[in-house]
Amino acid sequence: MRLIGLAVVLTVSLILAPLTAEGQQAEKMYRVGLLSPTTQVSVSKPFGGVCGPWATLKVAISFSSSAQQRGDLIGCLN
Amino acid sequence: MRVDVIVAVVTQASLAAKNATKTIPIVMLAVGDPVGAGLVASLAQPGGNITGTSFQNVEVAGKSLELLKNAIPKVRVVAVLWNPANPVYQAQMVKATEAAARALGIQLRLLAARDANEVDKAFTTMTGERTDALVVIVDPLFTAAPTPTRIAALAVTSRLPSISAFREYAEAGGLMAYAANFAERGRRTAVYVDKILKGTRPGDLPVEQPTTFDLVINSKTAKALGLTIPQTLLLRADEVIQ
Repeated sequence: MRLIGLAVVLTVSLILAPLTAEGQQAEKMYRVGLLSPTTQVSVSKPFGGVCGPWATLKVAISFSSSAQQRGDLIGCLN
Repeated sequence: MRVDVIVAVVTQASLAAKNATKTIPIVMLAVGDPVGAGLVASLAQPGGNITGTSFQNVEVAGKSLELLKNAIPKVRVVAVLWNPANPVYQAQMVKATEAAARALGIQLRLLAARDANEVDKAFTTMTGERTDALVVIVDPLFTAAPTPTRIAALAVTSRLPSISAFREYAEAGGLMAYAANFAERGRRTAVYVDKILKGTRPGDLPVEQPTTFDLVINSKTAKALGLTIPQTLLLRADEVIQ
């Protein structure tokens, strides 16, 4: 996938834990790309130490917080 | 890197994502007018691989002028700061603002700025010509710190009451902001991602519009401008910054 011309794709990794048919928990890793028109966004650690333009930053935080509340956001990859 | 879902922030990014893939689910975040921008066929049935949340700011673009007129009843000439480098969304916003201006009997002066340096130049071009107020059309260029603070300061120096469609503008020293809640839009977007990862097709999820808009008035800025905001307007405000 090429997303040239815009600036940043942050990748957020989510773990959902669906129940398997046997009743056991299996982990599945999902990657969510966050595409922003600004160029300075970066995430240095999952839920803190974030820098960048504040509007996009707020979106990133609110997105992360909502996922975190459900307990399925475990971290961010660059 | 392969991703399972793309969250695309505002119109520019959503258009780029749509052009990049027809298979990876795309969740728009805070897009001004998804139908007008050609991102979805309709809000109710977006179709394809894209859905998400709208910011609805094209529809409410005229509200900024209306609020300026409420604050300063004698307002006649309003400058509009816009970014031609974001052509699809900005053209929608300018068109909607022009329509509202005609209805309110307001004359517009368009001030283009393609980067932060051009913001200062835009204010310089206003010198010597009547301008009663300023609308800052919300754009990633103008919302990225420290630009909002710079624009708000330039507006005060130029004795211009100003308004924009992101609440941080009023917090940064602009006179007013009228906007949907960006953080709430972000939280709703996460819900879309959750549903898609659990198997719902994006095209089957209606695009969600904001239900509430906040009016924020900066009374410190009003004082600096020598303005008395009418009590009726202050009573309508969701927040008055003291």
